[in-house]
Amino acid sequence: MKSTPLRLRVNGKTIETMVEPNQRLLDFLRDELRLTGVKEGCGVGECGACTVIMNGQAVNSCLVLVGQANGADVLTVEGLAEDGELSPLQQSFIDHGAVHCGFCTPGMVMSAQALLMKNPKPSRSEIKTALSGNLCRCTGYQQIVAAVEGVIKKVGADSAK
Amino acid sequence: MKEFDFVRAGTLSEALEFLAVRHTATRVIAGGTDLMITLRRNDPSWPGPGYILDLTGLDCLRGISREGDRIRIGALTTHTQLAESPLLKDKVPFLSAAAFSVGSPQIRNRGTIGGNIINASPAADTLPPLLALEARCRLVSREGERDVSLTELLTGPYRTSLRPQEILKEVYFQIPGEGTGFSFQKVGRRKALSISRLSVAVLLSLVEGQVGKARVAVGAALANAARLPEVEEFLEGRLLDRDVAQEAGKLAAEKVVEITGRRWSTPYKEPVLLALVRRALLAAGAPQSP
Ligand SMILES: Cc1cc2nc3c(=O)[nH]c(=O)nc-3n(C[C@H](O)[C@H](O)[C@H](O)COP(=O)(O)OP(=O)(O)OC[C@H]3O[C@@H](n4cnc5c(N)ncnc54)[C@H](O)[C@@H]3O)c2cc1C
Ligand code: FES
Ligand code: FES
Repeated sequence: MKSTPLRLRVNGKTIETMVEPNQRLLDFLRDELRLTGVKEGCGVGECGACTVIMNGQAVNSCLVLVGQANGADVLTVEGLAEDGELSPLQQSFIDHGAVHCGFCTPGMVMSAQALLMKNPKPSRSEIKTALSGNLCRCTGYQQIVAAVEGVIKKVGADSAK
Repeated sequence: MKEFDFVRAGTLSEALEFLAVRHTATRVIAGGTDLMITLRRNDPSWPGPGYILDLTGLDCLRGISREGDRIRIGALTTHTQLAESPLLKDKVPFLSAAAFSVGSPQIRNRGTIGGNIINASPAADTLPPLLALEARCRLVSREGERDVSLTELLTGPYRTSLRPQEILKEVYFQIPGEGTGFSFQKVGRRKALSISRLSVAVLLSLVEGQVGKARVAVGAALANAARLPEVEEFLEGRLLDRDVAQEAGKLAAEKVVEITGRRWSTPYKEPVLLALVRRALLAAGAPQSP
């Protein structure tokens, strides 16, 4: 197995390094970059805990070979806060009690973030569709959908001020 | 995880050259949503590939376009792109609907039509509508291109007639005429018990309620997704009403049982298939069907 060169952007920083060719993007983010907000649940694309945004789209980082991310722009949950302040979406998850054990939360937040980047005013059914690849064993999903709806209303209200 | 070297193709000719020399040791990867799972499976009887050849950098294999009376879809086009394409939603809405039914947003963002075809799962969701459209596939190797019908390409569960030196480049079909009705119906989830999965795609041209052309394809019922010619023949020339739709559903279920034989899942699948075919026919026959 020959290690291969990798160049990509992660949370706005350009990274150039050598990687093992059979690493998943998930392993690279967690083990090499220590971005442990990216979680491994099922490892087979079913749970969404490993969701990151790659070139503007939510993807399961457990199903991406690291080499396939060459040249990509990757955003993880660690990239959302600015100057130590949680993003409005993250804050809304807390305010709506959408975080219980928290294992699914980074993936949920990234799926919601990907939706809002594409569609700033999604309907409830669009929110549900966007979160349909993320499993949560604790909340029953209501609070999570409410958290996403909450941030849409809040951002709307703030910009109307 | 298997061990392999990773090669990212920069151009199509580079990819074809690589395959021409190293095809016996190489697997190509597109979205990886099927292949990654195979590569991680702990199967000691399979050493894994020597090389993984990544096609996702080949933008020339991506995209949906209209060429005269045809639509062509590049093999690397994702399910998300199929589901959102205004051209497909307008001309062949059942194909967008099938793509939208795949997995989850994350899977649709990575998974490609080419991977769906070449993986050749009996339950692959884009296959029934593509079969109903009589789609053809363009395969390329260093030696040149060849076209085969999708039916000829699918040779069994998870098996195709693609040669190891070849790549699927694109799939194409004739745009159905104005007034054609479409429907894609599916029950069951991928991880749910496999008996509870079935899908049906129907394409119908109707003139004053009378069926001109009928195409009926089923997924997850047979070794590969497949058309049911007897059902199509039964429908052609008839006035489509509930009774005819019911009869066609019955015939579809009978034909499937005839091919597969009675199995433990038959008591479930038979009535569900009947109902799905009936529902698909009535939806495709209704004016402005989805
Ligand atoms: C959680 C989950 C849910 C899923 N749900 C569904 C579902 O509801 N419906 C459904 O139909 N599928 C589903 N799938 C399966 C999968 O997502 C699709 O089959 C997808 O279209 C595969 O495309 P890919 O690009 O990811 O293929 P890959 O995994 O990259 O490749 C699959 C196979 O095709 C070959 N291949 C890929 N592209 C080419 C090409 N251009 N030329 C030659 N060979 C090629 C590869 O070598 C490999 O053998 C699901 C998968 C997961 C993990
Ligand atoms: S760990 Fe990737 S989807 Fe579950
Ligand atoms: S909060 Fe525990 S899994 Fe979602």
